[in-house]
Amino acid sequence: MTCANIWQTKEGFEILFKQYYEPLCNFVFGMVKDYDASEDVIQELFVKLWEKRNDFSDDISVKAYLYRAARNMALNQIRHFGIKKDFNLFNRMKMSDAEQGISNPAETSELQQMIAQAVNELPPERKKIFLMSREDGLKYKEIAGELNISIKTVENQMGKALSTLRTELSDYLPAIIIAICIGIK
Amino acid sequence: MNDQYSHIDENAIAKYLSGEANATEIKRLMDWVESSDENLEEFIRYEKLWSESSVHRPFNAQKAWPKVCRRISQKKHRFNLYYFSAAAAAIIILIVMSVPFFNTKTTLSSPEFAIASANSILNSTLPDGSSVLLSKHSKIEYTFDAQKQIRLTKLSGKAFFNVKRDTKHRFVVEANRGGVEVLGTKFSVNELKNKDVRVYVLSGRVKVFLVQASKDTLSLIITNGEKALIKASSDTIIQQTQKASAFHSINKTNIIHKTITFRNMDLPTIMAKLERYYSVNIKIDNTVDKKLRFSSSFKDNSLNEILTVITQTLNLDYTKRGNTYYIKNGKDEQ
Repeated sequence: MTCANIWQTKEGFEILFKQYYEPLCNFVFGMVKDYDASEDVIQELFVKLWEKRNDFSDDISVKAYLYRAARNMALNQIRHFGIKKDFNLFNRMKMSDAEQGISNPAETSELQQMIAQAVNELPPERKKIFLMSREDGLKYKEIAGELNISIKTVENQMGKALSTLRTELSDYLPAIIIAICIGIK
Repeated sequence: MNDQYSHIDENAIAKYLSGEANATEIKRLMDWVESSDENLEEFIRYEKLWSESSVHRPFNAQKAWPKVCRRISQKKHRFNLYYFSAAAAAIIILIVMSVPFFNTKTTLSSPEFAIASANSILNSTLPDGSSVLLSKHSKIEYTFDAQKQIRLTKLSGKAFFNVKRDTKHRFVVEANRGGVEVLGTKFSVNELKNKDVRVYVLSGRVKVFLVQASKDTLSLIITNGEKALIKASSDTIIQQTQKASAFHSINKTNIIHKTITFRNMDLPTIMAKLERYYSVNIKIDNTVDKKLRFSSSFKDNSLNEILTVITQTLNLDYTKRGNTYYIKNGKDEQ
């Protein structure tokens, strides 16, 4: 029983947690559709990972494990508690805005600025829809209602917006992934 | 990414990430994500873009960590035996590995303490009480420099430090030509293969420095959650996590919501941002300290309100003539 990876120690585990907590929460949110439930799932996942840390061998990618386990745990959560139908995205967003001043996630302002610029250069209608979703926290249905368009159109515009960001920032993204991984493995 | 799953519909990803996907769509996307490592990486890229495209951050790792930490600490006693055996192994490795390491340093005054790791990581306590977690194939030397009254650690490889607070004796880590001076903190230092040095601060504040080829020393202070990269090749330090974001959105009723956030940004950067935002000119008087820094978030405030808050906080003053604002030192400072 040797400690093969730095994340298997308390200090290393804290680094692992701080690097993957937010992305994993975002990841399971797509399934459980509730902010608090997403956090519960991921916190539980890290507690379990810590308990089982000595079962990991050197060559297992902890990242792949985390995402796979997150999916399974999120599905269990849905099975037991069901999906909350009307999550209140906007109120929750307002609250997190107030907290923002003290929060301190490791983030890359350069990327944020580049994203903001790319969003700004989207065709006007697409930009409006994207911002209504990401900034105002409106659901697809609400956006469709406000703009008097079909939900399908909202879906298409959101997909195209995301696709544009992916293309525009393609040179930049792999570097970020590498930067995130380095502290750990 | 040439497999049959190589193409995934961005509509499906956007729908999933915004919480709009139904059970069938979720399953389809998850199957794609799990079918290969490349797909997982690709998904993580989309997710990164998605979360960074909004100033709203619903999840906060810094706040969640204490909860999880409490839960995992409660179970710690179960592993006591394991820690004991790990410590025994560490001592053996130390003895084996340190012999050639000491020999290379014969001409210099020998360090008080030195350890090197082989194929596993080492957890060790330095003579000053600081703890070090040494990654595989890394080594450190610790010396108390009585002349300069500093705690000096030389690192080769990768290590995580939890520094014991001692304001009288600064803690300095040197790696290659650069290093870190600690102001009481937890951080990691990673000397990369290309001689660059990566520093990641978990909590507290550290000063990252680089002795340039011209013998000048560059330095940069980074804090909680930030990273810095000391580039040996280009003789510079890059701060990788300066936090600043500004977005605005226009909703249907044409009310403009402007949120502007400054996180530990210097004065010229803040003013440049405000200039762009409000389409005005802002001139900073030459006597004003350009290194002043400021953090805050404003929502739907006028430029006058924002400038008042910033100038009062930093003990400055501002006047307006036409479309130009002038920033100068506050009266009681002169």
